[in-house]
Amino acid sequence: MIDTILKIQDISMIIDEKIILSNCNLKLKKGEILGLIGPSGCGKTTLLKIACGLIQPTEGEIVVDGKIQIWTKNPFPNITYLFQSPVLFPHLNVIENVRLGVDKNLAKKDQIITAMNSLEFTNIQHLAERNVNNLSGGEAQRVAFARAHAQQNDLMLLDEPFASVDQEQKMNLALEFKQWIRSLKKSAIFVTHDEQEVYAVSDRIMRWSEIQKSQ
Amino acid sequence: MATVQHSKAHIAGPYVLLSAVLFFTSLPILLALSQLILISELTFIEFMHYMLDHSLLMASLRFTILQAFVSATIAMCVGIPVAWVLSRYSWRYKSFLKSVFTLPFITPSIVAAAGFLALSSDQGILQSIGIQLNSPGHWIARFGSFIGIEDFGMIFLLILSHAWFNISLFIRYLEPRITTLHPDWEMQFLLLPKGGQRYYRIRYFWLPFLGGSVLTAWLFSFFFAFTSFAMIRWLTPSRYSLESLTGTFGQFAGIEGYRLDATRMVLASTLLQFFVLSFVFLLFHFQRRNMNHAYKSISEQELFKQQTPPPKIAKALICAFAGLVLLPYASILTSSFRIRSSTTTRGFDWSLDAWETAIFGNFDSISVTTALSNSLLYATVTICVVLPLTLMVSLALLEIEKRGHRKMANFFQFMCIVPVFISAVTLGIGISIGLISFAPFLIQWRFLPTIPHIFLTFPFALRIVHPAMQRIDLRFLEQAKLLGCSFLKTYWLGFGIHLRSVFIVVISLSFAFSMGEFGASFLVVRFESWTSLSLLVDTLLSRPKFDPIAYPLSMVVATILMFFTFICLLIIDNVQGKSGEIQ
Repeated sequence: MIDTILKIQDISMIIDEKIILSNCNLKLKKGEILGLIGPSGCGKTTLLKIACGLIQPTEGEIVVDGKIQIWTKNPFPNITYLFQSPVLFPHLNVIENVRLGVDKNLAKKDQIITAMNSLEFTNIQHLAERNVNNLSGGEAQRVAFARAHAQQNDLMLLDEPFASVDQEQKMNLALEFKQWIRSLKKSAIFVTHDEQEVYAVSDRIMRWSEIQKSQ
Repeated sequence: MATVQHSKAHIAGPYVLLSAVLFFTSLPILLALSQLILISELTFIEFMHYMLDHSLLMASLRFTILQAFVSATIAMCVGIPVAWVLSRYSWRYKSFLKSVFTLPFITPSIVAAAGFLALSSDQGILQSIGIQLNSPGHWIARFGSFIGIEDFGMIFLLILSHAWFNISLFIRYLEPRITTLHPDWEMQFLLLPKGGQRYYRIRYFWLPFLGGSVLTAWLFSFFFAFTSFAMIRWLTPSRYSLESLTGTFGQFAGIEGYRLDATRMVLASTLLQFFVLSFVFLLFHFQRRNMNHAYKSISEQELFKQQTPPPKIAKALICAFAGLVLLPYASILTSSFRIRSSTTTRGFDWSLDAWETAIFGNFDSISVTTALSNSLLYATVTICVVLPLTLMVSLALLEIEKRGHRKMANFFQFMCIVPVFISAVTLGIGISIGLISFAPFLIQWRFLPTIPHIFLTFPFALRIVHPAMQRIDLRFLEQAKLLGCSFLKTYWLGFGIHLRSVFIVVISLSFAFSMGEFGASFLVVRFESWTSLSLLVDTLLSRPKFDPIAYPLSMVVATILMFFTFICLLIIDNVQGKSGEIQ
């Protein structure tokens, strides 16, 4: 049985002769929360976007669950990605945003039930009908997590998910996120430049310099 | 604790000003309607019967709605892909391309009509490539016969001309929205289960994201095609739209004991227009309330680095479209040098005769120089009134907003912008029938033609100036007051210096609108010596064509008008490019 869910191998990215990433390597075990810490602008977000298939690198490969991934117009399936600031579609309310994460082949009624379950999981069922423009930073990030929950993927990539949340809420939300990921038995890479956050959330921590060195 | 006491004048000032502006804006239309109702000698029921039984009126209504609907839809079908291609790739000369594509929108309607006439004329470009719109044997005419429309060739040209006119609206509304959409939105949708298929991407992402802008552009396109006058007058002279019906019969309406049919016809067509345009306005309002979603955006400069150069097919599409946009202008210019001749086999001579006649003036009506000086005079007066009026109204709105009466400020702003949805000919009727019947001495007032220009320009100016004023940090004004500056200097430092580029845009736009205004002037200008350039184009186009110089001469005047429009656009574009803040 393969115990590595994600393998990032020799990823390099060069745009207009400028090196954005050079030989990045990383392994994520099943059920593990890996904290990745690095300074702003070092290429953390680019690496995560490459890992989920949104960007094609100049060199290297991504292996998910033992399968080498091929870059197409669409991102890799079965990976959930959480952006720095929650990307909630303003023309939809909370439950409709979460419903976008549900398997589209389900009947409409089942889609709503699944979305509602996800909202309950993140303790925000009372916000179901709320306009997403009227949410606080923390609430919006919970909705984004609920949508990620609805996607039911085993691998989650979290790109500084608490960047838009105020300082007071940050630590509570970080601990909640950890608890949720743990209870769902998911694997996650959690990217940040905040030491306190990374220690609170992660099982294992890697610094950016280690990623570029480790072969 | 001491409380600040404001005088009653200070408190009531903004409300009095705004109410006065609203009163004077609605006065001509209300006066004209009451005059028409009085003279028509019909009860409401009789009037309804008259309206529904009048075959010309009903045919005009059908024709107006149909051509406006089809042309707005064609403009949408062409405008969306062009806006898409323009916004998805990094174009090296994007601002130039956008200027070219915006050109039709500020082109005077009479110039556009002249351009399409030139395109379809004998030896015009369309005929030279084998498209003879009036020939019964051509496939366009055959298709017209198949669907039961006799003069389909010219209707087809009319629809194309309206679409040409309005495509720029779709580009104007969609291109910045798509360009500045933060890539995270699209990426997020791609990562969701529904993001993998094009159908779902369009249905759940692009449609909600762009739907509001598409609907706005479509409604404006419909409105402009619905209220088009010059194009219908010249491209489909055998058909009437409600606007051309009002314009044509409006010259004889509203006079007691004279041409009762004209009065009734104008009243009916004005009211029908009012109902249809009110519906359009309601839809527009619905769109603004319900479909205006805020998405996180990205600056164009930042995005340019991430975009890829356009593929060949995108380049071909943009080049072809730029060519189509410029074609009517090129036709006007070439037609101004082409004089009909029976001595050559090709049927015309290349000559500067029309230009010489225009400049040195040996034709028997008003000269180009007089018309040009009239147009410049009207434009100058329009600017001199519109700019301070807009500033005063905007300051009054800001004052009301500052007092916390936001709803009231929104109401006044909304009411000030409503005249955008009144057609130029209706406004002309308002002035020629309403205002003049109330104050007959105005008929000889030299600046009478500027009144409709001011009415038509003011809402656009307010739409540009007020948001810019809202963005200004009021601390500048407070600081100037604290420094003990004079009244004028305080407002200059508080607002003026921040609005310089906005002023230039408003001045250029007012100038372009005034120079090109045709519908209202057609009814208001009663003396030949008051003729403006746009009216002169119309007069020259109306001349019998046995005089070979008449047609090229009209094209010369259209070229001169076109030249002024180009200058205005260049100024607007240059200022917008530098400031990047004017909406």
